[in-house]
Amino acid sequence: MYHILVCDDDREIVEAIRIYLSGDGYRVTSAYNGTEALAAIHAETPHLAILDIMMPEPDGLRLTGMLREEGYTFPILFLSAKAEDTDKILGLNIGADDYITKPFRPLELMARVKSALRRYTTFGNLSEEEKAHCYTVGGLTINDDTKEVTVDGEPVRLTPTEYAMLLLLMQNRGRVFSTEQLYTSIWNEPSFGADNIVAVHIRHIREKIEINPREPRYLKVVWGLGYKIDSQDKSERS
Amino acid sequence: MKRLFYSGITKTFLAVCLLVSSIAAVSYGFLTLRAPVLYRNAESVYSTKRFSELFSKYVERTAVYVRYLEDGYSLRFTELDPQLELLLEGENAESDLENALLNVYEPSETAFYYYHSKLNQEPSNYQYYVKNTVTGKVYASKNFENYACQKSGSLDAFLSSGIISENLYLILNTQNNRSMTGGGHDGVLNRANFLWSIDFLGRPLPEMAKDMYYDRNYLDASSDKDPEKDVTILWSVSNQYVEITPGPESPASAVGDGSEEMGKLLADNKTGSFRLDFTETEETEFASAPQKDTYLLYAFVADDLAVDGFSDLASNFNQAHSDYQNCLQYTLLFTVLSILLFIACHAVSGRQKDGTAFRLHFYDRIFTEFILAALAGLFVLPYFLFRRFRSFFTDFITDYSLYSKWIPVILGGLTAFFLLAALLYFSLVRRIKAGTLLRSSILGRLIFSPLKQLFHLIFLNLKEFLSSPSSLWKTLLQLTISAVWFFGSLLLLFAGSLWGLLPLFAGAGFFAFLCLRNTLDHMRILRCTEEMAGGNLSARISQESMLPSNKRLSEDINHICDGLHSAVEEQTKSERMKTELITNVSHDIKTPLTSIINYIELIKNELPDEGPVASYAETLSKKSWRLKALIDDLVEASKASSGTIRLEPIRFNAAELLRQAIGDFEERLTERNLTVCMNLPESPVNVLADGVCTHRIIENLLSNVCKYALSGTRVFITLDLPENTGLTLLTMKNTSASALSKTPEELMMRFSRGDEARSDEGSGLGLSIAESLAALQGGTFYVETDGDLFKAKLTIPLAE
Repeated sequence: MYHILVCDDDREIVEAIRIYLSGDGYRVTSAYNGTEALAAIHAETPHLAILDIMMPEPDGLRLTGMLREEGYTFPILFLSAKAEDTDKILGLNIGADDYITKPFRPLELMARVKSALRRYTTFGNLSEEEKAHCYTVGGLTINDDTKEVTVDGEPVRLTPTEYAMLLLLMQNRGRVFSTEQLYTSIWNEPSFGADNIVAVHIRHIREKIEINPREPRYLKVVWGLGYKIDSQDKSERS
Repeated sequence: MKRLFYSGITKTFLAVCLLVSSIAAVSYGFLTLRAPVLYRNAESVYSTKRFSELFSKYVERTAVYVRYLEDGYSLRFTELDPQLELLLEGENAESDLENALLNVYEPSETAFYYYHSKLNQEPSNYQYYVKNTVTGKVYASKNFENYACQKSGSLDAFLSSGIISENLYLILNTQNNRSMTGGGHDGVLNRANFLWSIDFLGRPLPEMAKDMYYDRNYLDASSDKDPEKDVTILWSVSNQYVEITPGPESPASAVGDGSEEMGKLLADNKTGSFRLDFTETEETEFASAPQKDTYLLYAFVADDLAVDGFSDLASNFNQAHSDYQNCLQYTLLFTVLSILLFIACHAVSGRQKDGTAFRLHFYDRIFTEFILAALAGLFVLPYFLFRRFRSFFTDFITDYSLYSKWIPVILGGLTAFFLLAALLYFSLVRRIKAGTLLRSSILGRLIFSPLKQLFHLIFLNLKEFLSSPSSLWKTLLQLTISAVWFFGSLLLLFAGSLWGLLPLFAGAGFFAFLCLRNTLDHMRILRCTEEMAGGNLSARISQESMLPSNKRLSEDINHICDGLHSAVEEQTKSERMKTELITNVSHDIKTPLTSIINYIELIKNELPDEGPVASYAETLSKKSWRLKALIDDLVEASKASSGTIRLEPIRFNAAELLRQAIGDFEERLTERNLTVCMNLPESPVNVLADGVCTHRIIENLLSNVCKYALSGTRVFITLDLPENTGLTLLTMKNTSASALSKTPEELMMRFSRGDEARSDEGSGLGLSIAESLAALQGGTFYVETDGDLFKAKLTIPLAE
């Protein structure tokens, strides 16, 4: 049973999250400000913490900084009403693992919590030979030997075209492929423009590997140029 | 009435009338004035003196000649006096010489001979017929009877026909030796004048006039008869005849009318004692007994007997005289008419039909000077023509035969002259009326308007100048110092000292230095103000080492710029604060919203899937998510319009972005049964813009399409490259599901939706955000509606 710390100055939100998490079988500790949260963590290290950014001293950002300085490695999820890109980047850079904007869908929160926990607990469990043909970006792993794709350890079913597309992108992590390039590579025939089939496939892949396809963590769109695979914290605007 | 007065027809009519009237006036004027011009020394027009004098002289000569004949002189061959020889040769010098000769002449053979040769030259147009009514003796020109018979059949008929029409007469008072010919009182032989003449001849002469009258008494000078002797000269021209019977009482006279009487007198061979009808002359006693020396003298100038000056003179005289009498009234009439028409033409010239505005013709824009020159030329031209063809004009005046030949040319010339003169003159009139006389002149353009501007400039500056006393005094002081300096230097120089040059040069150098400094300062100010105008509000003019006046100017400019700068800052700040406020408020709203959404989800979990309460919970859930979308859109709209979004323009392919965006919407479009028809260029459309922003715009548009397009229709998306705009044009067309009742402007407004009733989707901010974002990246966004067709047009700047 995983132990999760939830900290927000809004007691109702904490309570609601607690209900959901408890429902999924997690043990939940509630805190209503930074000091309480710090005390709770010092008392018992949780497997995961959900922190609000805007809360009484110390706020989420400072608290995270302090925790990372103290050597805690458990995943931290930020929960904030600040939806700006800059806020997200700041939060992720300071050491958080995910950033969820308020208001959120409870199910999405549960999915993210689950994902983070899985990544935290299973990360680095692969053998050396497995790694040779494995490509990993964050929690996304593609094994070219077994043709398996996993997100945070959970296997994902992809069509052959989707798989080929994802593999190409994973093999060239960070490189932007235009729809035309993707088309010619995957279908082995020249593209004649005016075709959005690649975009449709990308969308399908995203729906399968992303928790929230509208806010993708791995498969990113570079508008007007193409697509690329990149991990969350480095690909956003800086 | 007014309309009629100013109508084109009236104008044309007036102009034509003026033309005709002027030509008539000139023509009649010429004919009228021809007589006095012809007889230039005429005292009055009627006298036509030259002819009348000549004729009178001949009549007098005739009288003298007859007297000689009566006295028994006869033509014998004698040696001619050389003086007489001279006299007979020329006609011109004749008058003076004759007077001189005859004044001193005793009755003699020589004098008789002189008269004889004068009067009986062969051939001659001068014809005379004298009859002594007492003795019945007749003295006549050589061929008189033949001529008379030829003309009228018989002598009597001729004498009674009265072919001579001149009103010339000779009145002699044998009592006091005074005579008078035509041209005495008012030139015409009528009753009043005749009586006046008789009266005048009977009056004692004023001393001064004596010579004049005595000179004429050839008759008496040649007579040695005693003054008591009755001499009655009856002489007639034209249809008038006169009989004078001086007696011891007073000169008696009678005047009769008609050659009939004359003819009767001659035919009856009566002695001329008859009575006339005039009551005033009743006291006049024509002696019943035949009187001793009573003559009937009949003289005229024929025009066909000989070629001599006399006949020309006579026919011209006749013609001119009749012209004068016939044309004078027409001349006056047409002159007055012309003047009236001329005035009327002034009134209508240039007026519009309604009589208010002035209309200018194309030739009213020709330079005024040209018109004036043409007009002057038009009036000088006849003079030069006259100079050049002087002989022709002289002939023309004197010779009637030339008239018929030249009249069409002359009339044509006159018409052209008046037409042109009127055109030019009324052009000037119109200019004056419309006030463009100066403006349309070269002089006005070159001199008057610059002068006017200069005057304006000086006047305004002076006014400005006078309104600020400090600068006034300063300038006056400067001027005074300069003047004193300059004139002092000049004085020194003129005083012979070359030292005067030194201050002069020094002054000039100082002045040049000031000018240079001023120019430099101005250049600096100009450079800085240009920079400020270009948008750099933090630019300031450095006032280092400036002239004081320029320093003040630049200080003021700096102040203005400071004010502008802070105003702009203020504006930006307030925009930012507004955005910040909205952002903060949105945070504060989102926190409770989170709770709401979470607890609704919890409620939903607790409820069974079916049932009314479950649907209530579903509605709550939907609406709370809509609230979230609204807040997000509001924040974005505020950011986009205040420009606080940070843009990162990169070079990308707009076609690629379209494909990506449409790919994202594929499912939603399919769901709505919408088909996308794309028309993209083959080659990449490289634009320079922010990819996320551009995607946001297109996303909004596609989202609108999914929401509002009529299911089952096609959506047309085209990407064009309009030439020479540096932009790419993206057009998205779809058929709206509901009628588009709003104008494009209303659709673009915030919180506006295509259909007000459909409030379940969208915030109404999509188009507004799209517009703001498009403007932020240097493009434009606008929508057009055409029936149910909704068109969105987006332009994006192209990368070079």
